[in-house]
Amino acid sequence: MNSQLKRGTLELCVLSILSSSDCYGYELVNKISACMHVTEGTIYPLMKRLKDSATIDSYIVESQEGPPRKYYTITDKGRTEVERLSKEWFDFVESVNNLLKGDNEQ
Amino acid sequence: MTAKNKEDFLFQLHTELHRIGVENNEDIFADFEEHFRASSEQGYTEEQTCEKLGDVKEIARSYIDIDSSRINSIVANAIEDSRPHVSLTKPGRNEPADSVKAPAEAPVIEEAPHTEIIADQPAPIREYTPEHIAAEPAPSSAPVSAPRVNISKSSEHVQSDQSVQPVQGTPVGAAASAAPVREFTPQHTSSEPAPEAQTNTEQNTAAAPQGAEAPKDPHVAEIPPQCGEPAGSGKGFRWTDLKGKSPNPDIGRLIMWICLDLFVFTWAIPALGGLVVGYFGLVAGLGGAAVTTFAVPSMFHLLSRIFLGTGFACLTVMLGALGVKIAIGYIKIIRNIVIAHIKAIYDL
Repeated sequence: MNSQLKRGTLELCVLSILSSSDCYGYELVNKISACMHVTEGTIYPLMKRLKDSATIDSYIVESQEGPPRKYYTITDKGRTEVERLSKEWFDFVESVNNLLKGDNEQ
Repeated sequence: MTAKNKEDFLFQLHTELHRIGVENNEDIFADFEEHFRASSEQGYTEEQTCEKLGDVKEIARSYIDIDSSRINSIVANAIEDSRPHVSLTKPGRNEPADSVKAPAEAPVIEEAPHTEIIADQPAPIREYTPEHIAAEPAPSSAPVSAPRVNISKSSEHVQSDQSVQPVQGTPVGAAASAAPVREFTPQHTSSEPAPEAQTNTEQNTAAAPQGAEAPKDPHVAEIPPQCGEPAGSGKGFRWTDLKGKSPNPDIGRLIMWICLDLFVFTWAIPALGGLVVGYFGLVAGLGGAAVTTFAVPSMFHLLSRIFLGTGFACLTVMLGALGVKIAIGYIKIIRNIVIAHIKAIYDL
């Protein structure tokens, strides 16, 4: 998959995962890399950007067996952003699909 | 380039972030340390984790990435390829390549969804954007906010304008704080030869307590830079100009300022300079005495004398020339002061 295209959609993927449940960093990275091939390290910069833009937030959870973990959660702003982005995404996919199908038919 | 282990990864990341101008944020390292920890809990070795994390340079670059548009990847590549030890975050260091890139990049930043993030990060890019320059407070915005007249006006206008004020009954010391400040803008100081600048400043501090508010005078403010005479020069003054003019009613105070100026420039400053020069002379004299007393006689061989004699002759000539130059400078300064005050007295 084209890396430029992927980077744009990665944000949507992260937000959409977080909108179903809170995750800690490694868990999130695993979820994403399980279904698409990404440079895992670049997810952290993305998380920082999202956090800086207040679409996601983080909190620390103390754990018994090890050091505390940083969990990410989606904010209200993030939820509206997910809705907007996913709508954009489906529109985009639909139009690309239409185009490709049209090409095939000809 | 992927790292070998956790230490190597963190070290490389630190280096890369520093190189491209991202503040070394503890949070970034904490994130990756946690990642390594969680990964090892899952049974991966550090090497495997590093491999999965990917290219350190790419990760570091992602912290400054604006979006994935073409221009930005070009910029990012340029940053990566640029001289490794130059700190791009230093605004003072203009690199031609970066300055050229800045305009092309500015619109992209505006369109980017993460503009505020970029602004928070000390990314190298923003140093050259128009927004950044506009946001910078002192050096760049000073000339814009300061009235144009301050940079370029001629001393004549300053003086005449300021001396007119008392006649109009402006309260004494009204804008005393405002007046001297104008004269110390970098442009003003640097655009003038030293002695003249000194004169000008002196005159202004002298004239300021009389309540001058030169920048508010629309006539003065509209003089374009190229039309004014060099500040502080006494050119353009003729004694015949005084014919038929009556002195300023406030002449008493002006004469007092003249006396003070003349005192400062003809007595106080030379006296101070004389003290300094005298001190060095004393040291040199003591040194000479020490040499002649304790040096070996062979030092005064004929050749040595010739060399010494030549050296001293050269030194004398140089000092003489310097002295003449200084004297001429002083004469000019005093002349300017006198002329300026005469003009002030006669409201020229």
